[in-house]
Amino acid sequence: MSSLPAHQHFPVNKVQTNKESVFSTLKTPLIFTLCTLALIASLLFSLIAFSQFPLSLSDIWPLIFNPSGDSLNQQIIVELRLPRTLVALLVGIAMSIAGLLMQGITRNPLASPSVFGVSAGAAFAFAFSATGLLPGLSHIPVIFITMTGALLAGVLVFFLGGLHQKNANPIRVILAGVALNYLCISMTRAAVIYADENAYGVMHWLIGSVSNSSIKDVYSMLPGTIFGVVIAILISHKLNLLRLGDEMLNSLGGNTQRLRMIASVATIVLIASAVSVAGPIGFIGLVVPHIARAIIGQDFRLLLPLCALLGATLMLISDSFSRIIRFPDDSPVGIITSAVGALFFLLLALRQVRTTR
Amino acid sequence: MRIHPTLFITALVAILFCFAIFHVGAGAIDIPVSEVFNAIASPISEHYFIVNNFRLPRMLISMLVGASLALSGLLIQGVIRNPLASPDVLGVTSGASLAVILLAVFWPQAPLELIPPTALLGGFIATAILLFLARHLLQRPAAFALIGIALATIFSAAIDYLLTVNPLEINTSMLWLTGSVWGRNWSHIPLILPWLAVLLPCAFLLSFKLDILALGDDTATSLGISVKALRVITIIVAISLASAAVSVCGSIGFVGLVAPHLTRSMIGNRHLLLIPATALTGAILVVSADLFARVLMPPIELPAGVLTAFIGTPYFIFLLCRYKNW
Amino acid sequence: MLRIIMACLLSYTALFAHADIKVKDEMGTFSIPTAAKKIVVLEFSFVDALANLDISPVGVADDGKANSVISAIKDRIEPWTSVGTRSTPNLEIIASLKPDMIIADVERHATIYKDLQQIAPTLILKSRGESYQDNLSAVLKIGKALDQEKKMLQLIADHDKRMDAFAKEINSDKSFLFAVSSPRGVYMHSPKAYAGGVMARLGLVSAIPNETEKAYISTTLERLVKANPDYLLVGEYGDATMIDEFKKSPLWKMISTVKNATYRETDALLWSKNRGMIAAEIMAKELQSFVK
Repeated sequence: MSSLPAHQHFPVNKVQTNKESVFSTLKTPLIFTLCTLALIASLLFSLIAFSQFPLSLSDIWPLIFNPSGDSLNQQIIVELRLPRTLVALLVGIAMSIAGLLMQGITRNPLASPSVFGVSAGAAFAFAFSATGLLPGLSHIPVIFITMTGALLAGVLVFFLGGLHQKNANPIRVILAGVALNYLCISMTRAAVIYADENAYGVMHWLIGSVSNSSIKDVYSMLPGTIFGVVIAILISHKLNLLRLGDEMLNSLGGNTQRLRMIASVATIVLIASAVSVAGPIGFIGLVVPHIARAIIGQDFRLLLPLCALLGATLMLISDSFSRIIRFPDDSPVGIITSAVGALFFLLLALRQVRTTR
Repeated sequence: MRIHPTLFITALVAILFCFAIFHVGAGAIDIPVSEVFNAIASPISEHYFIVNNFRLPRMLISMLVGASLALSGLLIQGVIRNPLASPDVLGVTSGASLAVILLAVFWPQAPLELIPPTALLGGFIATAILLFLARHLLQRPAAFALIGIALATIFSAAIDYLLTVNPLEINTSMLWLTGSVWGRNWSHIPLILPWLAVLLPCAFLLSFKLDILALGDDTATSLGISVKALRVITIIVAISLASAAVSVCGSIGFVGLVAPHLTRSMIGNRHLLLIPATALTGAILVVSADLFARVLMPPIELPAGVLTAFIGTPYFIFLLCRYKNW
Repeated sequence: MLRIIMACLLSYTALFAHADIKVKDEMGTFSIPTAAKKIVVLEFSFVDALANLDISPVGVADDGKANSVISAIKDRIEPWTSVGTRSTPNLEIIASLKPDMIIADVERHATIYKDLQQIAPTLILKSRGESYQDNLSAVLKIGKALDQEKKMLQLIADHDKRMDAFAKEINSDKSFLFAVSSPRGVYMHSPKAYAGGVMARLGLVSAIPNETEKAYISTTLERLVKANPDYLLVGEYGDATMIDEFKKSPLWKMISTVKNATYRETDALLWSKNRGMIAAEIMAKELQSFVK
């Protein structure tokens, strides 16, 4: 039974009110220490694993003291592996926190960036610009195109899902997202068929990949990710209240409508910055918050950092393994997160329906 | 807005008829409406070849596919009582698609005739897995749909994986995945017509029981209906319809979702009337989608599935905005 | 009497000449009573083959963009009617052109082979993902189907001579690589791809000789550095593509081709889409001027 999500053991409001047992006071720091160690290990692994060049840990140590290492191996690590690893890390953080926020505001365990349709919107924006139907689009950097698509899809879902109204219904958001997601995917496929010989690139884009990341991508991701994370931290206490119900938050002087609005903005910015660099990498946003909740319970103030740690670790591991599937070819990391995530999703769904009987 | 059922069904027949004529008439080669019947019937007409070899079978297949998908959606929604439920949501279409892509990847030389039965097999295997995993959940519609969505996701992940690892198959498979009526001809009609001919009466037979089920599981049980058996039978009928449709055209989305909603909002919840009305609505949706797919940017053809998404999404969103009883 | 015998002989030869042309293709045997005049082709490589015989196709599946055919080929033939995309050609337009013959690609058009057969006798050959040798044997089949086998053999022989000449001229032991670059990725063309085949024909060594399974290989900068070609040609689809990102990295300067200033950008349409003898010779010429 120990593997069951924690909230099924305890009354819902227990975690944030009092932590009386010695076990639970020790548990939290222990969890964070372990997760941080896992992150560091996966980071180092990702820097050197599965290359056609013989990279090893001994190439990394000198770099810490002399970041402009000059051997070819060190150049590869600094110029290619490091940006790639950092992008994977940031994408993991952004996507999992976005997922956590979305599950928080919709109070729906299935909420995730792809359900919002935001990733699909960004993907379509890219695919459309790649068809060359509007020649002007090719002069605009990819990142702005996808950012626009993501924002547009997000705003559409926001209003069509009724998040701007009082007492927004969570189901309506999911429905709007599913519909929009489907539309965007259909249109992207049409664009792929239209663009044809250029289709391979679009296909990779549809799945999500960090293969060709450069340090520029890291910089372009940073502001959005930091913005989203800071907002998430600021509203984490209110999200705790929202979890107990709209009335609870309102009676304690919060404004559910405004909270949902703020959280949505943060979510969209997080997703847009991740998608515009790496494509619609699926399921990190769905899986990580669930794992985190199973480990540490329902308190958003603890969930946020844990999601960030776990999301980053998971992305780094997935990206490392995406290089080995067809070595020496790179596969898009999205196929790994999707495959693992989809199986996890099924198990999650099965467990959930079994335990909530 | 409620319309008298007879009036509504008559109107649907008329609309379908109009779209059918337009479908046969319009395209890269324009045939005047007045010429259409002549072109179908008389071999001396200059359009006889195009109409009888391409347009007419395509139009009929669109109709049959639309009707099957819509009917499948109606039955599934009737059983699961979930506004999201449709063959797409339950993973039937993605299961069928996965089977076809597996065939294309592992047996590239497979005769093309094998594609439809493979899709059908995939659809049934997907349903079998769903029924196995959710065997205790037949009483719980939302949970059932959740497992369906999860399965659909796994299948799509597998499809993505296969398409990435075998990029040369992308084009053919992509086209099939979006749902296209392109290149379908008379030989495809026997693949779907018998299914519809058998399963449509089955649906009618089930309609009274489904009406009672709509009153709630307890009411249905107290009236002597075996709820579990009814659910299983209805789902099998629905899945067969959807798989047959997918095996011919790939997955044409939104039809199974939108058509039942639309008809329900027009004529209420009686399945006896809903069945013909939904089938007609579905047929109209796909016929009009394929019509626009051909005339939007000739000579380039779009997949009909993209067009149903264009038609389906705004309607679905309209539905979301209008719906008040959340 | 002699007259009658002559007449008999003549009619016999006439009859013989009218015997069906038969060609084995990818899906059976193509047969046509007489050489076709109105031809619809559904891939660019077939346009190249027809242009070599100075035959103008009446319809081409050119994706709605006539400029996808390189001007060297386009200028040799009459304008054609577009029959839609290569992946989903418009059957109605093909039928309305009333062709005597259709040339289709087995990879893309096997699904509509029967429909095409109903319109006109259809020769179905390899085109998409074909190698250099595949292309030559497909071209020969087109020649046979058009009852111009001899002329085509001659053309191929001439082509061979010219390619031999180019090979002699170029005569390089450096490693070569062609890649296309789209906004989302760079794809190396292996020796199995057409461009790779042309390079091999010219006696050039591929920078990725071990990639014999797949024609097009998605690549990162890391892999490109590993491949380390002495000569790199890149065809871009679009203005700002992934290769431009690669160029910004310090590692880009560590590839031999960049060190030796032998990096060139070229026409992706020529090198990737328009496969055929005319295109191959232009590619050879480019390579020649490139090496000098």
